[in-house]
Amino acid sequence: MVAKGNTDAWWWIDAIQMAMPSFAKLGVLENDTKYFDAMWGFYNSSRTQQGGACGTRKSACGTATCTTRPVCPAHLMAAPCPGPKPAPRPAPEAGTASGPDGGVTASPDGSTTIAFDARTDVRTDARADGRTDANTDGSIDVSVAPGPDSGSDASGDGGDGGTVVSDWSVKQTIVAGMTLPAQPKIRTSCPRAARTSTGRGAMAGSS
Amino acid sequence: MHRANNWFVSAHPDPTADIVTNKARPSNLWTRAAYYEGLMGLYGVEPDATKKQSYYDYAVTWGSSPTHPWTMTYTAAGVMTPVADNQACGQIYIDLYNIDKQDIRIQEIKGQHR
Repeated sequence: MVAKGNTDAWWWIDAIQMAMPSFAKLGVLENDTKYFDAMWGFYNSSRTQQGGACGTRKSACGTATCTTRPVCPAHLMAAPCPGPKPAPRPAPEAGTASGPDGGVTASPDGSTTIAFDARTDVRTDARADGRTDANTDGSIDVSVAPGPDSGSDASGDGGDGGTVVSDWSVKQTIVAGMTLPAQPKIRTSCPRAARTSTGRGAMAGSS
Repeated sequence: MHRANNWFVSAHPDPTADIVTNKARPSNLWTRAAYYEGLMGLYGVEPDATKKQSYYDYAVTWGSSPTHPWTMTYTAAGVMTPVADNQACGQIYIDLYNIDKQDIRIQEIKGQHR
């Protein structure tokens, strides 16, 4: 793998734990840094290429193109990039939030406007799912994370069947009047899985 | 660690036997490599010489399994596999080589990374 020079072999999350130790141990054993260099190449590729190359993928909000990492926390946190819209607000139960319902409205262009006044509507109903919480100033933090690994393996061996999920997450303060852009599709399946006939999908697909 | 390992060894008296969950998989599967990674860690800190030897013997028996001696998972000797999972067992083979330098133990993993 060192001599071949391609660095795209590690595209699932635990590949670095599976293969890195043997590279490290061989490098020590043979006192040869080529193993470390190769290991870095594989790792760097897994970090910057396999999950979406730098500069080729929009950040989750779709308003900024990441130029430094496949998933760029700075862009996700930036003011013009409010992040994905929050979860639909569940129907309030009696005795809870009394603010205007339907506070989140979708526009024809796909954007979402937060119309409710977060400073008076604490949305205690929305806190039950753990996704939102009220700050002391009345604003609300919304944490959005991708869904569970859709490829989880029921065998108990932990193989993921060739599906990887991007590891991004955002935390954004939402205040009244804020407009959220349309949420882009987040790629959750590994583009390599389908075409890597000699890869894990076929050989260990199983594992 | 003793307790966990005692359970594991008693549950798997033959380390070369296939791992059978929803189907049979070879014992050099990455899941087993993860166990041996821990076992070698225990080997490193085990004060009891008898126990220490038993860990080594158990690991060597596993590594030299007759059906896939010192080879990568799902991969015959001399065949390249780029799959990290298949190479996971290799780190244990190197550990065992470092204890007793028999070239056969690292021949395959060296071939993979060369």
